[in-house]
Amino acid sequence: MNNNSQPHNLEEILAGYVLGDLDEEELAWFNQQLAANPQLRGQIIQLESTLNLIPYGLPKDVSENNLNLRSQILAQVKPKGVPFKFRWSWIISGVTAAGALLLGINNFSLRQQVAMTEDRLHQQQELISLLRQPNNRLVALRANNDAVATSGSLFISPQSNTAVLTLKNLDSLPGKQVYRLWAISQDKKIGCSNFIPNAQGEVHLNVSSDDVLNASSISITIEPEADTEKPLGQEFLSGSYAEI
Amino acid sequence: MINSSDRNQVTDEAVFADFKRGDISALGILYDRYGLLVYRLIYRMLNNSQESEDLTQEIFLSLQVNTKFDPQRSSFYTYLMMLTRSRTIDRLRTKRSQGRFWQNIGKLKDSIEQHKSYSPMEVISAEEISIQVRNALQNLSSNQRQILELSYYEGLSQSEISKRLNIPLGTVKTHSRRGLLQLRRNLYNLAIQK
Repeated sequence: MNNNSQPHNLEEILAGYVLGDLDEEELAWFNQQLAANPQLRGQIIQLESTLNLIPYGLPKDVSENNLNLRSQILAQVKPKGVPFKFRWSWIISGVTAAGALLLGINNFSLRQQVAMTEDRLHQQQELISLLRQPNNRLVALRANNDAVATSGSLFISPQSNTAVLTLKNLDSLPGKQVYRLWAISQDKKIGCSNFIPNAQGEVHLNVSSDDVLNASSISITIEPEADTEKPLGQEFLSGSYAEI
Repeated sequence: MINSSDRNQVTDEAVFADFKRGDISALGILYDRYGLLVYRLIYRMLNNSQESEDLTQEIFLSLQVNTKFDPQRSSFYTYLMMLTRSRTIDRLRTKRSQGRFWQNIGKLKDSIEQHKSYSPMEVISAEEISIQVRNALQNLSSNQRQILELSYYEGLSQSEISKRLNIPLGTVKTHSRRGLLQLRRNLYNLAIQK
């Protein structure tokens, strides 16, 4: 079977096929060989038989524990030749059951949609009441490097003691790396929050830290791990409250 | 229909064909031949006796409706074991995704076999096959045996085995493929019968 001019050892490729571990290139080669020589099927069947003999090697101490599985199985086998009307009744009850199930699923999904809509409405009402408050401020965040596509803003509502950080086009980070928000006041940088973007590269972060509310500017860095005391990574996004 | 006196001479495929034609007792014969083996395989994979009993029943009962068996494609025995393994791997994946599987691994209950439904002829034959398979597995290198068993009983992919054993993927593939070829050489007579 082994032919030195071939890119693969045919026997090993057949074994790999039975074990389900061929890569794309090996599979393509295997299919070519099989098309050229359909008798290889015989070898595949033999290898499948061999692989499935492995359970015979299992220890005998694992037993049925005297359970009467045999009679339980035979008691559940349905004899053939069930009268015709019974089959129809099965089909009708099957269709009815499937219909009821579909209606149930439909009902459940409708209730979920209503709950989600109520939830969204509630969030929007909260947002509107937040936006209506006086003294709100919006800080635009700018990338320090033109190559960075990330943009966003920090919305500050001093009356509600709340700030909301919104960012888009953030890259996901490898390993333990996180994005970290820093509040800058009198040249002192205070770490406020770690975050990572969602699958769409977006961040919506509620920040209630006094440090952010009372800062003169904020910046965002990429840190090697969460909760660093001083910024170790380069600042790539920043915004100054004074610009408002 | 099969007489109990000469049932040992009838092939699995013929017994299965009788069962498909409506002879319920034929399923009993198939169970006598492979029920305990199916149960043991499932138990080795799931390590839970209740789930193993349920799945054994499910598999034998599914033979009544399952029509995928093709005698041109494989023996009944190979079909039954492939069916068992694939159903059990499905269960394993569900269990793993629920995070319970690894807690149970490694626990094997001690119990003594009290199986009485084999006829003496079948016991000898199954016993002989077991001895040959165990010897053949012992003749593999320990790496080949370990990788084949991880792949067969735990349904792990070659890359999962590579991570688990910290061995390069190419080496895992070489060990499992050569291990299977070695098994075929050692079990040639059994493989062409089954």
